[in-house]
Amino acid sequence: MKTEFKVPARATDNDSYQLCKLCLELERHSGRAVLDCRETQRFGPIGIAMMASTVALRRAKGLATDLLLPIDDDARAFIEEVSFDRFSEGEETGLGTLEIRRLDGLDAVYTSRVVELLAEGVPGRITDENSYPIQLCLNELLQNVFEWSQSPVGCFVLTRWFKKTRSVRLAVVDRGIGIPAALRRSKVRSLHRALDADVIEAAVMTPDLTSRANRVGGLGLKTIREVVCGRAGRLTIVSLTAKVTWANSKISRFRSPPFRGTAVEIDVRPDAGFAEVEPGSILF
Amino acid sequence: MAHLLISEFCGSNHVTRADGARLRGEVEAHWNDAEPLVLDFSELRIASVSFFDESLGLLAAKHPVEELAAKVKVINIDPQDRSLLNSIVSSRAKERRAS
Repeated sequence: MKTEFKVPARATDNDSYQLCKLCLELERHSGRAVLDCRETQRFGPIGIAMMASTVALRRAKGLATDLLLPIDDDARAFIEEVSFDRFSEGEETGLGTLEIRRLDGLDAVYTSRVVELLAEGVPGRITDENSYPIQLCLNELLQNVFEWSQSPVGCFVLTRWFKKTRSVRLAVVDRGIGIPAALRRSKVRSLHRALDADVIEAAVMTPDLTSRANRVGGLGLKTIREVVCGRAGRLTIVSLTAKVTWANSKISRFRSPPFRGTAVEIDVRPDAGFAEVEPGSILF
Repeated sequence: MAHLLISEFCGSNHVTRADGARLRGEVEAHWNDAEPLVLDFSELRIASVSFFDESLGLLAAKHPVEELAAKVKVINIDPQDRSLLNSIVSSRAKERRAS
């Protein structure tokens, strides 16, 4: 007997509350399941990557998850383009392409290939030069995953160009301990008493805040925020019971159904140039 | 003057903190040389805060930047990597001065 789990009409970062709820219910279900996307009309990278991570968690327990494709032509085409249909059937995807990809380690060849593929796929818009922030963000997000997350299923990456917003959206999702737990375990400052949203915000905004005991660190997420928001983009982090977003100088915090791990999506507009350091700071 | 071609020394391992720590070890091995160690980033794009922070950022947290700049010469680096590296080293130097 299969149990159907209905995917919301929009599976994007704005709808992460519904996505977290769906992933939680699907993760807890111990029988055969069906992800019903028939009425879904829009997917974002974070939506696909969150569902892929949940399918992988279930697969690790020997549980199958079937997929019902969307009725909407565009949504169906998106699922097929990113190969989520093949992924849900257990096929390996994303080898040398921009499909949903599971990673078990940080591979510099993969991250540079992603930006090459973007530049090939969006000629004139994405260049070797303006793809730098995308590669930088991807490297930092993956570094964080493989250093801290302890995810039993690695992480799931999806990068796509969105013509309408002229932006690249990149999602990295792991199913590890979550950013708040990683910082609390290290007893960083007084964060062990703070709400999940406070810890996520501090991880991104507080200089030198790191779980790395007695070591330098804490620049990665801050740099990502600067790079993304400096280009009129958006950074979304969902982890444990909180979601925090940064867009320009505005921070928004939301409660979220529990999501084991961390889901990050960045929406970056590659048109703008990289901010130069102050001339007085140039050392090399 | 010792010359280190990063693409040869690191291969494809030029992203993580562990990769950066390996490079820092090499820089420290040459710390007492009379001439600066030349780090040649030809044909390579790093695009990693972690790598730069763990390699040269950590050295900037330990030593005055003037000393670091005298011990290490960076050449043929991607302009955006140079900007990122300078930003990280400046940030760590500021923290060192503040501590």
